[in-house]
Amino acid sequence: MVHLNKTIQEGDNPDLTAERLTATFDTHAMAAQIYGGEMRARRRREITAKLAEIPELHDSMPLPYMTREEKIMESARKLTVLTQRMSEIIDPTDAGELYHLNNEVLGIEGNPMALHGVMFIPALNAQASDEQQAKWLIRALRREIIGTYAQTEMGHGTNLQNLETTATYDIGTQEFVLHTPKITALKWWPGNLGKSSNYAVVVAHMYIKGKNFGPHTFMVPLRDEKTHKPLPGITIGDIGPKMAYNIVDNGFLGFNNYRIPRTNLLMRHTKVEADGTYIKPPHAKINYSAMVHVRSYMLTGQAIMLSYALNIATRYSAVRRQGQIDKNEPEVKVLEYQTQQHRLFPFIARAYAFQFAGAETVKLYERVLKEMKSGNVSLMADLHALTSGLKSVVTHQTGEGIEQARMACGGHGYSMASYISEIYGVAIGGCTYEGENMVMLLQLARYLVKSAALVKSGKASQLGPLVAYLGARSEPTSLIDRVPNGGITEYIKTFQHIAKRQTLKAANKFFGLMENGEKREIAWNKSSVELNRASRLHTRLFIVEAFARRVNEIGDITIKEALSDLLHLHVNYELLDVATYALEDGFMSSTQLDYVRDQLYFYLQKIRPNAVSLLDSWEFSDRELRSVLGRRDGHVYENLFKWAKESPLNKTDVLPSVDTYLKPMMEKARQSKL
Amino acid sequence: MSSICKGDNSDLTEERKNATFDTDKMAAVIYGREEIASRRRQLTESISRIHELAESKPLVFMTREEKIAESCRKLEVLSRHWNQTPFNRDNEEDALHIYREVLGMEGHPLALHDTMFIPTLVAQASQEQQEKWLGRARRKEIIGCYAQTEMGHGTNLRKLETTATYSPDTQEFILNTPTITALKWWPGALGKSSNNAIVVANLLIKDQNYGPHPFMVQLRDEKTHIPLKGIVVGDIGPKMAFNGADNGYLGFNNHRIPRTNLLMRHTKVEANGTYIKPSHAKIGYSSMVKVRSRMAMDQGLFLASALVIAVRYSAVRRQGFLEDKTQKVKVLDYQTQQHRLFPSLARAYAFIFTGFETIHLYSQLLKDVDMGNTSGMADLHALTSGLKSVVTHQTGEGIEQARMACGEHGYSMASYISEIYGVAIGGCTYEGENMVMLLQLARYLVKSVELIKSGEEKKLGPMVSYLAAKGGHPDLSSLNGYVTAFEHMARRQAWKATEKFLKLMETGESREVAWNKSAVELTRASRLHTRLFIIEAFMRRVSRIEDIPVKEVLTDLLHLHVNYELLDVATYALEFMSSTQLDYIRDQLYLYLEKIRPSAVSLVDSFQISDMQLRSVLGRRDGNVYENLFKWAKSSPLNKSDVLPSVDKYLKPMMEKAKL
Repeated sequence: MVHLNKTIQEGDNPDLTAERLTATFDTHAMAAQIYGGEMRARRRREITAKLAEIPELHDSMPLPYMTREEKIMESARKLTVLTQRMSEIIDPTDAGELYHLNNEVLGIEGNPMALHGVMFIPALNAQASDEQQAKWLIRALRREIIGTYAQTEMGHGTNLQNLETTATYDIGTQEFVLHTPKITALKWWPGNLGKSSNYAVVVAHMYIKGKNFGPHTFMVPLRDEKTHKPLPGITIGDIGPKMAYNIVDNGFLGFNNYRIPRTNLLMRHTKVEADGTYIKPPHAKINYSAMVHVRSYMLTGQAIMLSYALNIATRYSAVRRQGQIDKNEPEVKVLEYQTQQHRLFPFIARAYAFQFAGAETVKLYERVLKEMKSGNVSLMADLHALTSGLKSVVTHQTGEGIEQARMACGGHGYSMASYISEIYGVAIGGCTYEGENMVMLLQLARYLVKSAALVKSGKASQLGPLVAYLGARSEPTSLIDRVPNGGITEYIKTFQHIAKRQTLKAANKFFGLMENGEKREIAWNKSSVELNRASRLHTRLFIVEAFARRVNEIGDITIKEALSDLLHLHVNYELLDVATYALEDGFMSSTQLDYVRDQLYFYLQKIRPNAVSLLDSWEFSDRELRSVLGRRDGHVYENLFKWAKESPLNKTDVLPSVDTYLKPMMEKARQSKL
Repeated sequence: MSSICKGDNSDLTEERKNATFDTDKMAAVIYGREEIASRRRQLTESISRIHELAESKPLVFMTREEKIAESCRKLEVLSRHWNQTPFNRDNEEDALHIYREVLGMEGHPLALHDTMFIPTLVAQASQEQQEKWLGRARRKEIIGCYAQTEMGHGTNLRKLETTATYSPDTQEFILNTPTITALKWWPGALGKSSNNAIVVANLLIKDQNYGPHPFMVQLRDEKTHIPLKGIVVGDIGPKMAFNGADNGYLGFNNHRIPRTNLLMRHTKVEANGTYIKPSHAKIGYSSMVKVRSRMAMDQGLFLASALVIAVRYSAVRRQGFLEDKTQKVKVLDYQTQQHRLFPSLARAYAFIFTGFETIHLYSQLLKDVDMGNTSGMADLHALTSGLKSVVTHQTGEGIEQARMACGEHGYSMASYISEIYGVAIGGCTYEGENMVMLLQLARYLVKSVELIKSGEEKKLGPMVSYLAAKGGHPDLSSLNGYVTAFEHMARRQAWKATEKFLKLMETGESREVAWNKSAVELTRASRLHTRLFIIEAFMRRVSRIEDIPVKEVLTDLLHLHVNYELLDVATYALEFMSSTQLDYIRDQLYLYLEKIRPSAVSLVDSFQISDMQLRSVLGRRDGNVYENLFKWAKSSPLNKSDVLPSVDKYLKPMMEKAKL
C-alpha cells in the first residue's frame, strides 16, 4: 500500500506509524519544496540509498564514544575512501550533492580536510595568478597537498586592519620574511591548520622598505611534504578541544622570521616586483561578495541542523508516553501536551522559514553577482546588510530551538544517545564565526540608520527595495483580526509597522545624542542596544515575508495547505514574541493580542496530525541523524539499551580506577574497623 | 583574599581599583555571613597548599575514564586529609566547597553516596538496619547510590515497573525488571562505582501491589567488585556534560534479597507476609523542597562562574575604537557587551539571595511541621517548583550569553564555559522537568484564584495574597512601583489563565483536557509569579544590608534588575502602563548599565571563586590570558606528537598516491 508519508515501513513502532498515517500531504512532494525541486530531492534519496550499500563509509562506532584522536582517525579513513569513490556516488562539481554526501558520511563535526575545498581552493582560484594556479591549484585539486586559510589571530577577530603578522620584503634575497612578533599575533582558530594541512594561504601585513601596504595573502608551505613535520621557523599545533566541532584540528601558527619566495604572494590582483615595486590592484573597493556568499549558505545549513534536532524530538515525543489526560486511557504520547507542542511546532515553522529565506537569499545573491558583472554594484551593499542580520537572527533562534528540542526529550535528551547536544554545539558556533552576532546586527543597523536618514531628509525614493517599507505610510491600526481567515498581509503590515517604528526611534536616539554634542562613535555605542532591536525586527520581517512569498508560489494544494498552517503558526508566534513593540503605540489592541494567542493555540492543534510528517519530509537518514532517540523506526528503548551497553565504560565490568583507588579505599576502611 | 596582586594584567588591576566597595564585605553578603565567607577563603587557601589535590592536567583534556580515575585519586587523597584542620567533614557547607574546588562540577564516583545514599538510610532504615549499614557507609566500607528513575519513566513513582515480590517460604524479596523500560536508568554512580544501592520497587505480597518502597540491594561483590548474579549493571554512556559521573542502568533477573533489606523505619513486612502500614502515609514534599531550594543557589553560582570568566576577559580583550583612535577599547565598554552581561550579573545575585531566603523559609517550616502545622509546606513546594524552573532556564541563557560574549575563545574549552553550561542546563530537566514544574505551581495559582472567586481570600497563603489585591497605576519613581507593576501582571495573567481553564470546563471539556488546552497560558502565569518573587527577595535582601558602599552598588544592581525584567515582560504590562513609561524603563536600563560598568569586575571578584575552582584560562584572576591560552593549547592531547597517527596512516598515503 502506498501512503502519503513515504517513511512508513513494516515493523516500525506502531505509535510512529499512526502519526505518519495522518499525513495530509505527500512527503516526497514536500521534500521537493524543501530542497528546491523534485530532481534535487530525488538525488538526495539516491545518494542516501547508494551510501547505504557502502559499509566502509559508515561510522565504525558511534561518534560520541570516540576521543578526538579516534574521531579524526575515523574521518581520515572515510576521506581516503571518498577520494577514490566520490564520483560513483555524486557529481563532485555539484555543491548541493557534495553537501549532502558530507553530512551523511562525515557528519557535522567537521573533518581533516574541511577547509581544503571551501576556503583553500577558492582562495587560490580568486587570488592566485594564472602562473601560480598552474603551479598550486592542480596539486590542490588532486589532493597532492592539503591546505587551509589562515587569517584570524589570537588577539584579533575578523578586523583585517588589526592583524599583527607581518611579511617583510627582503630585496636582497627576493623573499618575504614572515613573522609573528608576539603571542597575540599567532594565527589562531583556522580549521585544519593544526595537524592536517601542509600548506596555508596566510594573511599578513606586507611591508616593503618600511612601508605597510596592508594585509595581503601568501601561499605558505607549513610542513615537509614527505615527513609532514613542521618546517623550521614554524610553530604549529592544534588549539585544543572545543565545545563541539572537535574533528577539525583548528590550529595555531607562529612564524619566526620564516622566509618564502617573493612569488608566493598571491598575485592575481596585486604584484610586488623583484625590486620591491608595489603594483596596486585595479579596484581597491572592499569586496563583500565572499562574505555574503558564506552567510547566505549558512542559513540553510542552520535550518538543516534545527530540523535534525526537531526530527529527533518530535519522533521521540510520539513514542514516549507519560501521564494521563483521560484517566481511563493509557499514558499519552508526550506530543499530546500543549506545552510540548509549543516547544516544538513554532520551531518547525522556523526551520521551514529559514530554509525558504535561505534559498531566496542564495538566489538573490546569484542575481546580484550577475548584475555586478554588468557593472551594477549597488545592490551588493543591500544584500550584505540583509545577510548580516539574517545570519545573526537565524543562528540565535536555531540554537534556541535545538535546545528546546533537546529538553523536550526529557532526561534522555541529555544523553549523547540523542546526539542533540552535539548538534547544538556545532550550530551555536554560527553565532560567533563569520562575524559575531552583535557586530552583524550593528552592520545591518548602519544600513538602517542610513535609510532612516534618507526618509528624514525626504529622499525615501532612493531607498533600496529591502527597506522601501521604511518610507511607506502605515495604517493607523493593525487589522489582523478584521480580515477573515487570518490575512497574512495584515500580519506583514504589522511587522512592517513595528520594524519601521523601532528603526526610526533608534536612529533618532542616535541623531539626538550627536545633536547633544556626543561624538559619533559614542552616540553610536549608546544607541547600540536599541539599534540591534531594530535590526532584529527588520530581519524577522524579511523572514516572515520570504516564508509568505514561498507559500504563495506553491501549486500543489495539499502541500500548500499544510505549509499555510505552518505559516499561520509562524506569524502568530512571532508577533506574540515581539508584541511589546506593537502594543506600545497602540497600533495593536489588547483584544488583538488575545486574538493572536487564540490563533497560536488553534494552529498548534491544527499542525499536530502533520507534525511527524513535516519532519519526515526533510528525509534525513538514520545514518545522517546519528541519534538513537530519532530513529526512523521509533524503536528507541531497545536500541538505547544496546547503545549504552556498547559504550566505552562498559568494556570492563570493573573500571581500572575502581581497582586502583576505590577498592583499596574500602578495604582499608574495613580493616581499620577491626 | 584581595584580588589585586603584583604581576596582574594592568587592564584588570585598573578595573579593580575602581571598586567602590570592599569585596570581602560583598562576599559576606553573598554567602550569608562574614564567618562563612572567610571560612571559604581559608579552605581555598589550605587546599591550594596540598599539591596532590591539584589537577594532574586540565579536565577538558581527559577522556571520561581519565576524569573518573582523577576523581578517585583525589578522593583518596582527601580521605587522608579529612580529619586535619581546617577540614571538617561533618560540615555540609565545608564539604560542598571542598568538592567544588577539588573535584569540580562534572560529578564524581561518590557524588550520590553522601547526598542520597546516606540520607536515605538515615531517613528510612530502622534502628537495627542503621546499625548494620550506616556505619559501614559512613566509613566508606561500601559505596552506595539511590536508584529510582527507570528508562521508560521519569519521576512519576506510580508508573515504576521494577517489582519486589515477597516469597514467604524463603523470606526473601525477588527483584525483577520485567521489560526494557523497567531498567533503572540515570542514577548517578550506579554504573561503575557503587557496590550497593537503595532501589525503589513496587512491593508485591500475595499478588497485592503495595506501591513503591525502598530496598537496600547489594549490587557487586565486596571483594572483586564484580556484579552479582541476577544483576545487569553498567554505565548509560556519554552525556552532554557531567561525564565525571557514571550514571548507570540496572536490571534484575529474579534477584533475591532478604526480607530484612526492605527499609523498615516506616513500613514493615513480617515474615508471614503481613504488611504494616506507615503511621502517617503522607511522606510529604519535604526532601524535594529542600533540593529545589538549594538549586536556586547552586544555579546562581554556576551563572556567577560563567560571568566571572566573561567579565574579566572582557576587561582584558581589546577590540575596535571608540573616541580615542590611539588605543583599542576593552570590549566591556560596548553597550551591547554590557547588555549581554550585566543583567545576568544582577540575576546571579538575585538567585543566590532568593535561594538563601527559600532555604531559610524551609527550615522555618520544618519547625512548624514538627509542631504539627504542615500547611505552609504546600505553598513552599509550589514556590520552589516555579523557582527551579525559572532559575535554571535563565541561568542557562545567561551562561550561553557569557560564553558568546567571549567571542571565539569562548567556544574553546579553555574558557570552560561550555562545560559549565552543560552541567547547569541539566537542571532544567532533573529534579522535575521545567514544564511539569511550572504546571505544579500553576495548579496552586489556580486554586488560589478559585479561593478568591468563592470569597475565601482569607485562606490565601502569604505568597499569593497579592492575587486578591486591587492594582493601580504603577509609580516607577520608586522600586515599590516596579513591584506594583509586576504584581499587576502576575495577577492579571493568573486570572486570565484560570478563567480560560474554567471556561473550557464550562463548555464541556473534561478537567484534564481543559487543563491541557490552557497549559501554555498557565505556565506564563507561573513564570510571572516566580519572577515577582525573585524581585521581591532581591529587594528584601538589599534592604537588610548595613554597609553603605555595598548597599549602594547592590541597589544599582537591583535597579538594573527591575528595569531589565520589566522590559522583558512588557507585553503583559502595556495595558496599564503607558508607552512613555516604557521609554522611561529603557532609559533607566541604559543608565544603570553605565552605572554598573566601573564596579563590574569587582562584583564578579566578590564571588571569590578561585582559579582552581573556575578551571578557565580566560577567567584567570591575574588576567594574563593570552600567554596561558598558548600554553594550554600546546599541552593539549593532539599536540603530543608533531604528526598525528591519522595523517601517517591515511592522509600521507593519499597525497603520495595523488602525486603518481
